[in-house]
This record gives sequence, structure tokens and C-alpha cells, in this order.
Amino acid sequence: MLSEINLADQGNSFFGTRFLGRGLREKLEAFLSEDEGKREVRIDFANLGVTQSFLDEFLGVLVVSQGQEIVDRIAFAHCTTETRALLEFVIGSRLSDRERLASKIRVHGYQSRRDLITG
Amino acid sequence: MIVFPKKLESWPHDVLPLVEELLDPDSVESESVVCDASKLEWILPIGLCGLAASCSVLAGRGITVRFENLTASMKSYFDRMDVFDQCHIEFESTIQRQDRSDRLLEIKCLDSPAQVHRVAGPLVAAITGQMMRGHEDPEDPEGMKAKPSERLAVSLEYVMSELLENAVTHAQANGFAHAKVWIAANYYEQNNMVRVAFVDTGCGFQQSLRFDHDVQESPNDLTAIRRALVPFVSCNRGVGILDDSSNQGIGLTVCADIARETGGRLIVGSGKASLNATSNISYPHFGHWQGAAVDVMLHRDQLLNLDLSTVVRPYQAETRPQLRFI
Repeated sequence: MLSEINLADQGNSFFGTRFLGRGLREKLEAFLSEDEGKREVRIDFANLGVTQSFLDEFLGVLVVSQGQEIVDRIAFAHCTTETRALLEFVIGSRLSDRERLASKIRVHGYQSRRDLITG
Repeated sequence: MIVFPKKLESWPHDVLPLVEELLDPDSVESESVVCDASKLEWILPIGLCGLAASCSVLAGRGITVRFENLTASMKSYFDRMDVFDQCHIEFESTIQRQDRSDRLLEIKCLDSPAQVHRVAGPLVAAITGQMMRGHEDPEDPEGMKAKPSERLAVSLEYVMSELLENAVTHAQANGFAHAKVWIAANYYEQNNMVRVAFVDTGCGFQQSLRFDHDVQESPNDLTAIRRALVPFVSCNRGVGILDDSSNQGIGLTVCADIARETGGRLIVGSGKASLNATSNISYPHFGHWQGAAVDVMLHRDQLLNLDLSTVVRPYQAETRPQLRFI
């Protein structure tokens, strides 16, 4: 099954803030958890602009916590060159964060949240 | 009595010294600060924001501010831009308000990240309206490119959203929960430049980055500003698995790159330091402001040709992620 989030339907032509990203992430998470966590989602970016911060809050947070598996269940429609570059930056960088985090836990374990973030 | 300079156009050179003087306890006479504004002829968004933010600090101390001898044109401009209101100055408006939202937007004050998109959108619409006046706005015959007005709006809103949300979020950390941010913007046809400015009453860069290794080694305002401009350095750069509001630490860096790409500049001030983020030149300090100030200058014609993907590309990981574009 495929669900769709059409950003243009959300009443904005530009998605620039983490605040907006957070609200939409909740919607995306709800879709992705359907069908016993197998549902795929199509996100339509037609006729709008986005920032790196919005995309990071909308998608980056999920990518860090769930990795490539979640990326494989999302299709990105009608992206401009700019949106495409920003998606590649945000998702690529958050996949690297996830790898770094995993190897840190494997090698050192961790004592505190701050050790993980700054260490 | 404080005497306003002829121009308020640069944070380090004339706005910060005035702010310092306004906030100096020695400037207060009978619970008010009186300013002679007779010489003031020219004020840019950074000057409007600096005045509004410092008057708000004074209001918090129970001190009122009076602007005396304003010229008629400056009085009318302050009235139109809501400067009196934002500076807590009683003033009986004499102008007939007309809807000029396609060309002009008053100085705005924000105190929550939820307000950012509601302020940035109309401000961008007003500035884009100013910039498109007298210019054609043709559709691309092949339908491949956005209209000029749309290209301008996307680039401008990118910069405003990133900087404004950063400002509100960081300003209110570290015990400054009541901090506010003022934003003003304008387009100047004479030199084809857009000016966007923010000034906040928050904790400042040094407080924000107090856990950063370099700031701990050299705890001063200039080091903190320089560190904030380094890609992937942030006060809350973390891993989202632990904190879903961690950020990536490239918002300010990319905005400085956009300013550079469009023949403009981005100046950041905080504490005693000011730095031109596009040229990496710092300015001698002529005052102190706890919070942060950002002054952005962008060239209209180069904004039209800005390709955001080339700005972001240097920060991308070597291996591109496998994404499904349809």
C-alpha cells in the first residue's frame, strides 16, 4: 500500500522551519507505522520551496533513528534540483550520523548523552 | 541627552555604539532616556531592529524613551514602520494606513518559533513585491523554470526562515526564555540590494556555544561567532535518536554562502564582537550587546540566478544516499 503526503495541501508554499517539519513528521510516522510497519509513502514536493532545517526535522530525525530501511519506503515526487540537493544532503548526513553513533556504541559504549553528541 | 547620528546603517559602526549609550545607566534622567534625533536622516533595517530591541530592554527596566526633534520624513517613516509602537513610545499616528503588504511590511517582533513562517512569508511577499515593481515577470515558455518572482521569493524565504528560526530558538536558551527577536527588511532600488536584519535580546553566541571545545579554550564573543559559522558546529548538533530537535549546524553557514554567492554580505554581532561572515573580517568593538544581531545584504539580480543546490553541494557526504525520486 502507498500513502501520500502532498505538501502543497498543507496550506503553505514554502516550508522553512523545524516547527513545520515536526508537525508533518508526526503525520509521516503515522503512515509509516501502518500495515505492520510496511507501508510506503510518497511525498509530493510540487510547486514549493523547502529549507535544510525543515527537511532535517521532517525526515532527518527518522533517518537517524531508523536508517536506510525507512528511506527505502519513501518516494520523493516532483522535486526541483534544489529540493533534490537538500534531500540528498540531509538524508546522507543523517545516515552518516547513524553510522557514527552505532560505531561509537559498539566501540566505547557511552555514559551520557553529551558524550555521544560531542565526543 | 543622547544625540542620534546622521545614519544608522551598520551594526558595528553606528548601531551598536548607540545601543550601548541607550542602555548605559548614566543616560537615564528621571526614569527616562531622551534622544535628540534631529540629525538622523537614514536608517536601515539593522538600525530599526537595534532601536526596538534596546527600547524593549529599557521598558523592562521601567525606563521610557523619548525621540525629540525627529524630522517630518523620519517621523512619518517611523510611524509607517511601527517603530514607535515597537519602542514603547506613545505617539499619535497621523498617517492613513493603506494596505501595502505587496511592498512594505512593518518591523515585527517574535517570541516563538511557531511565529516564524507566519512572519517570514508576508515579509518575503512584501520584499518580492518591491523588487518586481517595474520588472516583467514572465512564465518560462517551456515551463521548466519558475517565474522570476518565484525564484526571488524562494531564495529570500530560505534565508529568512533559517536565520529567524535559529535566532528565536537559540535566543531563548540558557535562562533567556523571555527573549524576543525583531526583524525588519527592505529593498533599495538605488543599489539593487535587499537588506534583512534581526536583533534579539537572547543569550548570545558565547552562551549558546559554551560547551564547544574552541569556545572553552578561548572564551570570547568572536571565537563563538566564528565557531557558529563553521559547518556542522552547533550548540545542539546531536543525534536525533536522543533528541529530536538536534540540528545539523549548517543553517548559518549556508546563509553566509548565499550572501556571498549573491554579491552581498552577512554581518553577525554578539557581545562585544562583530564579524563579516562573508569576508571573515572582524570589526573593532564599540559597545556590547548580550544578544545577537544579524545584518544580511543580498543583490537582487544575483538572487534571481541563485542555484541553491550548488550552495549546499560542498557539505554533502562523499557517497550520495540512494533515494527514490519519481
